Amino acid sequence: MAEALLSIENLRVQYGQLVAVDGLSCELHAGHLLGLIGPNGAGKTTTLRAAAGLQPLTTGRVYLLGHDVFKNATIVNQHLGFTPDTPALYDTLSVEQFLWFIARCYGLTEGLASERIDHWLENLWLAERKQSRISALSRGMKQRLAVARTLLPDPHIVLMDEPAAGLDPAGRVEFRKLLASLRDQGKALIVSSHILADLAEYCTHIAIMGHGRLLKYGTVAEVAGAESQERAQYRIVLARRVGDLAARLQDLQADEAVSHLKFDADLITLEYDRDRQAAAELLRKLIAAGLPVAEFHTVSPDLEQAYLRTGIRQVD
Amino acid sequence: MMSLNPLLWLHLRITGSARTNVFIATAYAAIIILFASLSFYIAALNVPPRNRPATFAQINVVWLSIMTVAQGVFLLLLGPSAVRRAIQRDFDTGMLDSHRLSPMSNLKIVLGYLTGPPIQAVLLYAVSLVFGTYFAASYAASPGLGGAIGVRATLGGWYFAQGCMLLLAAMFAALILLTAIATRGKANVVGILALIGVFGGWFAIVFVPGLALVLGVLSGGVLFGLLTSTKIAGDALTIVNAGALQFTLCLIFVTAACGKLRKPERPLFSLPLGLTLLIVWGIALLAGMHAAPEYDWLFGEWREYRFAQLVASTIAFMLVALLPLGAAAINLFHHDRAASFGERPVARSRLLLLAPLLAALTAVCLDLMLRAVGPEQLSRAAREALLHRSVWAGIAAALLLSFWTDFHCLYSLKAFVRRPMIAFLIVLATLKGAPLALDGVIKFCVEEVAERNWTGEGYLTGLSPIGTLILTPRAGTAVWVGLVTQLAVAIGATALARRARRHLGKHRVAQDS
Repeated sequence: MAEALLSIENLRVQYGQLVAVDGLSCELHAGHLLGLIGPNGAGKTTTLRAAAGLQPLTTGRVYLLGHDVFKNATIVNQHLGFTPDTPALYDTLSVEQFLWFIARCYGLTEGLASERIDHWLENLWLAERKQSRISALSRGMKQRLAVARTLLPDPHIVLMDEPAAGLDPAGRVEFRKLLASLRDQGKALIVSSHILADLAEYCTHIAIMGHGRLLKYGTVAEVAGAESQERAQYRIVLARRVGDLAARLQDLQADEAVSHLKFDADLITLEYDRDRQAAAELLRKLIAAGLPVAEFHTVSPDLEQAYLRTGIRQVD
Repeated sequence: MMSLNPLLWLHLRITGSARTNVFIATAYAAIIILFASLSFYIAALNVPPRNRPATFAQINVVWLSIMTVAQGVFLLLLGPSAVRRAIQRDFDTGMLDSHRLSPMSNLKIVLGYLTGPPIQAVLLYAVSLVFGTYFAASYAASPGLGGAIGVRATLGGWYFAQGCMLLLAAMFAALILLTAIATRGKANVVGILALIGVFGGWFAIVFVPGLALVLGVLSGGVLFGLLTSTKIAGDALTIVNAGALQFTLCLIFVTAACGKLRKPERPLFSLPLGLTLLIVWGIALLAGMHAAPEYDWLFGEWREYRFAQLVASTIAFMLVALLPLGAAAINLFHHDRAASFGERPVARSRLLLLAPLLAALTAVCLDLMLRAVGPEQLSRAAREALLHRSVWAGIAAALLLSFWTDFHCLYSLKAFVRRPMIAFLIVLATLKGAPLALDGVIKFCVEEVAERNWTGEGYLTGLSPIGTLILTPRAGTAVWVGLVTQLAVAIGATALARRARRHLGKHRVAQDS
């Protein structure tokens, strides 16, 4: 496998006696988009800040493109973008001036800076406000400008802390597309968010944090409850109530490929192999059992259920 | 334009538009022109024509002084304050993190903060420079005293003084920047220093001549004397010494700020940098002590307090020695904590325990040299007493025990206390200052209130290492009693540090289980 773009090893961050993050390890490769979820105080922001080299570690290591973030900041930072939960901006500058300032900080040439500024102003729907003072922008616009700041240097690794907070519904939809596009460009991303439905849509991986620890980590399907990438949950709705449903499902219950079978009057849920061939086979078996199948589809992994299954409530 | 420091570019935009800055500079110039013209006009009305050249020369000197003071205010107060406020603003808005996340080098960021925020102060300084040049030239061209010096020499002296002021301002701004980075811009060091300057700065300067040298008081006096009279008020070499010290300290502060910028968990000074600072500070104290007798205009009244200057200089050295000592203690703590998680080998950090020994050794050397150069105005017997072997042994023991205790206290506080620095200051005040204060209070109560003879004087003072320094040539028993107590305190601090280290080890046990 190719070298990880971001590698976190046994991360521990302690504020005095309070352990904010404890023993966290993960790796991100090109095209990975990790969604970080957990209650407030779970250690998400600390993890992101530590991964960006902003938070001193008690123990552990963070490597970006093979470089230690704490030892080679000027090299690493060429490839790293970080959006904090509160947009960091200079209120007295205009939108365009601010992005020019960032371009200078990253040593971009005038031509390249001009091109990228125009690109991100356009893509983040700020082109019309480029002459506006930042203090005059709404919360959502400031958030978009903070994202533009992060993406302006074209980083390989992008870390975002609650980036969708403050965005309107249309903005959220566009933002989801933007993240998916960044992922497809081969960047490695970590995004923390409380909007689990959004995360399920664009993330490749999910990490659930609680009390500073990584409670679950894996692909979206793995975390959402599917045992593996090869298995899927199927939902079958019958055209009418079937009285002897249990008897008709006896053969399926005996089938080793079927698991987690549940049924109730006109609804059946079960887990079976994910591929299309297996789906066709399952449908054939259901029809062979004399069941009037009206709807037959796989169920998207349910992150909310997975999150609640971890037993996490609000951290005190 | 893209090569301009980004933070300078930024502050050229956020400290006001070009029009605003031109307006400020013009308004300031107009005020100077108005009042200067008025002062010359009033003089012309009230002074007979034959006396006017001399009066005008005096008015030029007054305005030259006003311009110099204004420049000092702009460069030493407004400029550094702007640096601190910029750091505080960027901490509060998160922009400092943004700079840390950029590929800009630490030095580029630090230089950006040193040059960008004070832009308006520098502008006003430049306006004052133009007017100051005019007043200096007018004074030098006038017949009499000014004319005797010559325009070229006066202007040369004026611009040389500007160079000295810029060096001092650079050192001061670098110090403010460093403290602002360390305290997130919350500690208003400019204000604190101004307060100290107003309420106790004079005493600090006369009792620690090295401070007068570093702060440019001695060289400023020499330069002003050169500008306004033909007499040299002191040693002209002092200007070079002060400049060299200020430049070196500026470099040290800038290096420390660079180191602290992306590593907020690190001590203010790394161990090597702290030791360098200590050596430079020691040189400044020695040079100041050596130069002091030549500056009667400053130290004349305090000639009989030569021993107090000596002790105060050693105390000033001990205070600065806490920086490398603190760095070593914090490094050892971080090392031990990482080792408790199995991240680093334990043995490597043990060398840091040599830091108190090293600090004590340098302090003893400095004290010895201070005693060698300092008390030439004391009697022969007093000088011999200061350099007696038993006195030396006592001082060396007190300094070693003091640094050893400080080192281990800081280590323990880092492990046990949420705000170790504040706790350490309390410990410092208790161990070093309280015995002296208590002794003074008891002496006052017994002698002044009860009107009896106090025979126990010095016993409480001796408990503090500062007390040992004060008492050494005289109170023998009090010194030895004090040293035994200091030894007991040092043993206690060591035991506490050992306990703190075991406490760190518990993390490992908890993690393993």
